[in-house]
Amino acid sequence: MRLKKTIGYIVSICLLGLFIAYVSGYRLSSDGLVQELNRDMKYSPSTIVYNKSIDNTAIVISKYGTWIVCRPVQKTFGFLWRSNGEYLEPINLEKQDPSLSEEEIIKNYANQCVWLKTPIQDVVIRKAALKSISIGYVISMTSFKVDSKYYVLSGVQTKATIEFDAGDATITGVVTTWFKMVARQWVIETTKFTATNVIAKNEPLLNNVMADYDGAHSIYMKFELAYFPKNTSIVSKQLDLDHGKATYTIIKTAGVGPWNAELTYIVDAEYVFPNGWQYKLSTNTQYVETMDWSGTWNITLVNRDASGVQVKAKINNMMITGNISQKMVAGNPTFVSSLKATFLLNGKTYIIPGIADPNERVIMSSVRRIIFRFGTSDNDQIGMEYQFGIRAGTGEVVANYYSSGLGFSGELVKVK
Amino acid sequence: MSANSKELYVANVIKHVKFPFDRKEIAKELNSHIEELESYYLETNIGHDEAQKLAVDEMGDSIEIGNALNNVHKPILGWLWIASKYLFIAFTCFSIFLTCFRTYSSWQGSMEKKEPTMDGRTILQRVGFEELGISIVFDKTLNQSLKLGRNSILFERILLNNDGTLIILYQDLRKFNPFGLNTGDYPLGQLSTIAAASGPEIEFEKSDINSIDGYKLLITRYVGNEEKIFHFTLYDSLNTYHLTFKGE
Repeated sequence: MRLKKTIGYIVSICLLGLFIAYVSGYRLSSDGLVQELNRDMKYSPSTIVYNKSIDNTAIVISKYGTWIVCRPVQKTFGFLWRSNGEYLEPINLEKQDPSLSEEEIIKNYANQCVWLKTPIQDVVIRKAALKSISIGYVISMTSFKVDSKYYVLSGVQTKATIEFDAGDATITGVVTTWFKMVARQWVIETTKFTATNVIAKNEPLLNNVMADYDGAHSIYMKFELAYFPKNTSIVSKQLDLDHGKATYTIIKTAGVGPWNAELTYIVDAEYVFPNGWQYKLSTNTQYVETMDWSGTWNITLVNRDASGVQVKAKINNMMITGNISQKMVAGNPTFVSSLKATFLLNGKTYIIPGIADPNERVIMSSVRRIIFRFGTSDNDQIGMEYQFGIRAGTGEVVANYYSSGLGFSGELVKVK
Repeated sequence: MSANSKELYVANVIKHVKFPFDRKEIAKELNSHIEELESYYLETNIGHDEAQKLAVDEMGDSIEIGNALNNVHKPILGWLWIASKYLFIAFTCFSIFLTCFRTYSSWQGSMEKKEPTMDGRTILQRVGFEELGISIVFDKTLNQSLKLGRNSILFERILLNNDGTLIILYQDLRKFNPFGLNTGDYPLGQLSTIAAASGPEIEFEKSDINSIDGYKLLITRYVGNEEKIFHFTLYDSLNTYHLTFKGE
């Protein structure tokens, strides 16, 4: 009698337990539970396309129309299934990579879903972000937002946008971090910060902007500007501090007597985190060297005749007007000359360059080395050169008379 | 002395019965038997004490009787019986409570709430907008519903503010099902957009704000708040639902 009663009670308890479990959301089948969850969320009818058990969790993917959704459900009491309401954001199969088959898409999606039972917290991503930047640079974080968490079987890749005050600039950027699961905790595998915008608080120091950079130095090393003290000045600037950029136009000048040189170049400054302002020389440079040859000279040219006897030729009041400039723009040199020389030699008045005779011309090897040709013979030329003095800032014009390729110095006196 | 003898006998017997909940019943039974025998001997003109002694002697050895009774009243079965009985009572009570609770909850969830009677300014206060100096341009009762499978969404009220923020109060009405799964709110904010008559579709920025008088809220920011006709679109995975909300 007692035994019968006891059996009756136990059977009743089991039935009531099942009833309580059912009402509390436990189900006997993981598939049935997921389909019921879908139905309750108005996604019905749905079919189960994937079900894999890992430990006590079943990763169940169901399909509704062209959409799939993953719901991890937990096994309880060894035979009942329960959902804690988690689900991975549904995806539309039609909007996935067309090169992948439906099975591959579902498998990739399932990989992401595996980690749903231990989702990575934003605070962990935030710590990783600070680590990637190196905490010393961050004076204060002004904003932080997790943009994406991409789960794969080997871990999770997160992307977060961070904005912080780095002292002399406000930096915005993206932190990409790979996490892997070690001993039930997410640990950083790799992390990388990429700045997307910089708001500089101050423009660069002008001394730094005007400093000689390799690029600028290489420009004037090609010319004689390199050998003289230079005056450097900034002629214009464009500031875009909201994007951490600044552009400066700089002029370097030098001059010795009638010779002057001017280099104009552009420096692009950019604030690069964490190194600060970085400078780059623009290819848009211009170098101009000018020699003012105006003046009147008496020249005595010395040569020897065929028998070796010294012969002197004298030119009085050789008048030169105009100047010559050499311009180098974007690496292409051009000479611009307004020179005109007038002199009397052996009873003939020469005006060089001549209009009718092509032999009467000016040959320029640089702005301060010129040759006035006045005939067809090798000797029919007067070479003049502005030589820099040993003492800085000094120089003088000397003359050469060329004979068969061998030059002899001549005497030259500037009259006025 | 004789009464003591009878009680002593009964006590000696039941102390061998290990299941305590049966001892009282056994003692009662033994006493009844002894009294019957005692009555029998009294009828033969034997004195009371002698009759009781003879009755107790006739009952037999208390140890043998005690062990025999213990074998009948098995303690394991006894404990199991007691435990299952009280567990059954507890499970029954809990099942009744759970059924009532779930029935009430499901009934509440399926019942349409009354239109929120609070004025628009109070709603702005509740969502923290009033302290920002925001005021209402229009406040209109909608009373439009959208049928979604077994459940339906009831749009009750639309408020447009002077800063372009738009607030929609709605109810997620569920079919009465006390034994269904409680899966939380329908993600309406994630699946829907709204557009003014000639404007672009925009998504809702907030849909997780605590309910007001049982109504949930959808909030977005609208650029150009001159429009008073809004097209609400809900994108389900298979269907697209449209509603037009007229502010005037």
